[in-house]
Amino acid sequence: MMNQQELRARESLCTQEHPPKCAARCPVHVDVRTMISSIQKGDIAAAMKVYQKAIAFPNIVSHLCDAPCQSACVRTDIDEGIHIQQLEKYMAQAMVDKARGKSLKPPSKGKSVAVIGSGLSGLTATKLLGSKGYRITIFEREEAIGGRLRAYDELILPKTMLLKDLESLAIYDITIKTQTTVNPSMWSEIISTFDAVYLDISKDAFEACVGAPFEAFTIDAATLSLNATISVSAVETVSAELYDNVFAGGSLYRNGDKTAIVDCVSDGKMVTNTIDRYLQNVSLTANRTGEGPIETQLYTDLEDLIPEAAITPANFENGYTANEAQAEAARCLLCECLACVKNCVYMQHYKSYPKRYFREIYNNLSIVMGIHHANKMINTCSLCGLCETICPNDASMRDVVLEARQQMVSNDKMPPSAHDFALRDMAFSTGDQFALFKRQQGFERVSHVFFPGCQLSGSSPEHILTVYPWLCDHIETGVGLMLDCCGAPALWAGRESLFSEQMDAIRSRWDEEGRPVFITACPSCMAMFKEAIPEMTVVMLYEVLAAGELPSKASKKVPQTFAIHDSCSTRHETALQNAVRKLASDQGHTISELKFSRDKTKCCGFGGLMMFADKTIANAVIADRAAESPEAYITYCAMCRDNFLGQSKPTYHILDILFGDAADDLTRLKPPDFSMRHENRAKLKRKVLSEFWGECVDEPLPKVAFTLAEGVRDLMAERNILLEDIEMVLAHVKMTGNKIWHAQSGLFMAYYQPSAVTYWVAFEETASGYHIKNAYSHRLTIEI
Amino acid sequence: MYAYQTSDQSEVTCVKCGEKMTYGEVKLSYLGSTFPVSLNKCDHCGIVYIPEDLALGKMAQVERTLEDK
Ligand code: SF4
Ligand code: SF4
Ligand code: SF4
Ligand SMILES: [Zn+2]
Repeated sequence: MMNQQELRARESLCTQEHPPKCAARCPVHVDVRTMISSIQKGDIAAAMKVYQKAIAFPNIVSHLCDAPCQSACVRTDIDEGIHIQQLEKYMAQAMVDKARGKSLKPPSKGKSVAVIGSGLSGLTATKLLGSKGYRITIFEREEAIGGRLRAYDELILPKTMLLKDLESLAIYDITIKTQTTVNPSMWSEIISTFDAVYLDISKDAFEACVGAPFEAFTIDAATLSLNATISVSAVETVSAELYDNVFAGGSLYRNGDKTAIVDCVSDGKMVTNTIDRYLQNVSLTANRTGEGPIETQLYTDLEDLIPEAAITPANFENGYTANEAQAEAARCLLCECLACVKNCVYMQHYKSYPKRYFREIYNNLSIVMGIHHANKMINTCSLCGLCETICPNDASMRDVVLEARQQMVSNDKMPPSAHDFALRDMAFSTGDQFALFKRQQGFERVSHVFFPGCQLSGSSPEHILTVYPWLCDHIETGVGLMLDCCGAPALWAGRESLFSEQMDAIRSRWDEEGRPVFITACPSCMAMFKEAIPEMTVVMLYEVLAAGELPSKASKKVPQTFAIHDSCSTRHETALQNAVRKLASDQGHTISELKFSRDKTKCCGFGGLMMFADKTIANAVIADRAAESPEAYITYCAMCRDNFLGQSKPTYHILDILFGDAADDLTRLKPPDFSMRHENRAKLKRKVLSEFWGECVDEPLPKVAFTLAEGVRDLMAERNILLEDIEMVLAHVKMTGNKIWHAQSGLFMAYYQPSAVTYWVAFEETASGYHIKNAYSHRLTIEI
Repeated sequence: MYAYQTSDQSEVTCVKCGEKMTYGEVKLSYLGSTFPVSLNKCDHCGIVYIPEDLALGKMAQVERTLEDK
């Protein structure tokens, strides 16, 4: 079973939860996506709240920020990054007169911090430490706090904005000492009387304050701790140990006056974190991630994006109007990945994405007592592999889901109802009524074996009667015929041992026959053989047909346009995909490609036994795929065709196109139900035996004669009840006489449990036999 | 003992025994759980009647719950 570590590794492949490029680049990680989404909804107050979470002085910073986010925005690849700072400025202006939620004065922590210098970095630290309950004293050599913030032109930073932000400091325990230049003797007193000290001053001021050259120190970028590098004890007033509680940042160690505004904010936040840790006596470095600009692997699909120029404010000094801000916000893609989810109806249904699904599946497998809520989710994935093909990191639901199913089977936790019916269908195909192997008449040894697969045999047996003789004519070294199931249902159901049993049987026959080339007509069979018997040479019938001369029966259909639906189990088989297209266009047809084709193809709803686990989702999957193009589809898997036909989408198997009767329009109104598939397979076996080998097999006589009232056949198909199940109940009635008279309906009722399921039948008795009016079943066993 | 609700109130008769079936305790089991419910049965031979709405409704629900346990 997947362990915690493997789970983490898998989770990390899905980067959906990584931040967008803008927020990752922003050193204080303003949640730009949420903020802009609020602007899009017209809720500026909410947008402002998001902004304030990251920015202690929103009015100042919104006017001055250098906006590294904008050049990081994914839109720069297409047109222009979102003008995030302009939006922030708009928000601040729109909200400046509105009352905002009042902060409360925090309880005092009883510790004191000196902040020397009151630029944006020092002020940010002041406000944030103040809000944590520390007592702050600011030492500022000018006559007012704010540093270079005071020097801005009114057009760039209006004084109202500056003052409004500075007012917000008032509720904290802050002492401001202006016109105070710290000299070395004050300095020694400060570092010994305050619990911590933050230096936010210029290099010259630093040296004048400390009384030692700046070069004698380093600043640790991860914590902003100030460390003495060379012995500074030569300077009398300085002793290295005394510097434990001293931290420094802002313009001092960055770019002087040119330090980016947002980097000052970032240092103020970072040093707050450090000082808080220092004063609480915990590690300054443990578990510190995500401070400052970070990398992100979030993938945003820009494929269908139409370029759109950024909005420039008509009046640049005033900034955006409400309309302009709306228009610019509308350009934001609210980046998230979900690339795989957007193209998978099943994942959309469960409203989440692989990272979370992996965890949910892991948790589901770990439950010892209690309800396994994710069972159905696990059993519904079609294992189509599209997600991993789309995902930039190849995160695969299929792998995880399949492993989970195998795990559930081996723990005896697999709900029996999920796959029973499909496995019964497989058992029919591997049993006597269908399974067969024959060498071509007159051959002791064959170089090839035709393996049409159980679904084509169950749905279009006539094609096998056409194709097999054609193969015999074209391959002079002999072609055998093998009717069987490849075991795909067992693999998809998580029944590893059943699958390998079936594959072993096929493999040993293949070995005995001298390892002939297998020609299959079913993409799933092809995928199974390739996976389980890699040393086997398997080709698909359609490649063989495309390379040879078609049988004379090849129909002359009126040329028309078709869209090709590729099979999901062979999404990477380019040669096969080309062959099918060639076969259709050689017949004069035009191919229009679906958006999701070839390696990006979608499942028809049969894969992974999805339709047995959840019919509703499977039907939605089929409908979604059928709606992708108005053209009729060509498939090369019988199941795919039948699923589309089941929803009245005109669809042909490529063999219908090649060999179908010219007279009918090929679109059968209704695909066969499973009873019919069984019957078709059994008939096919008898037919090939008599036609190709002259062996006559009598049709088995029905044990009991019965007829179905109108609508009962569809009801049975819906309820996964086969004709043979009805027959067994009636045989039981005949043998035991056990039946119930249901007075209200005037019908007899009888039940029988051949193995797991109990079947009920309501019927009339007529001179010619039983006439069935209703059928249903349950899995609870009636104990006698 | 649980009495399942059904809208099928028809009189039911065991044809073989010619007995009118009446409500009584029947044991149902699935995946190792067994529990008694009240259903129509023939006192004579034990044959049981399960109406369609029960089989497809409540009982199907119980099956799903037991399967997910
Ligand atoms: S494509 Fe899907 S699995 Fe991959 S990162 Fe995006 S959301 Fe996650
Ligand atoms: S489009 Fe929006 S969310 Fe995406 S990077 Fe740009 S600003 Fe950020
Ligand atoms: S159905 Fe296909 S695309 Fe969707 S999760 Fe499963 S394997 Fe991925
Ligand atoms: Zn009886």
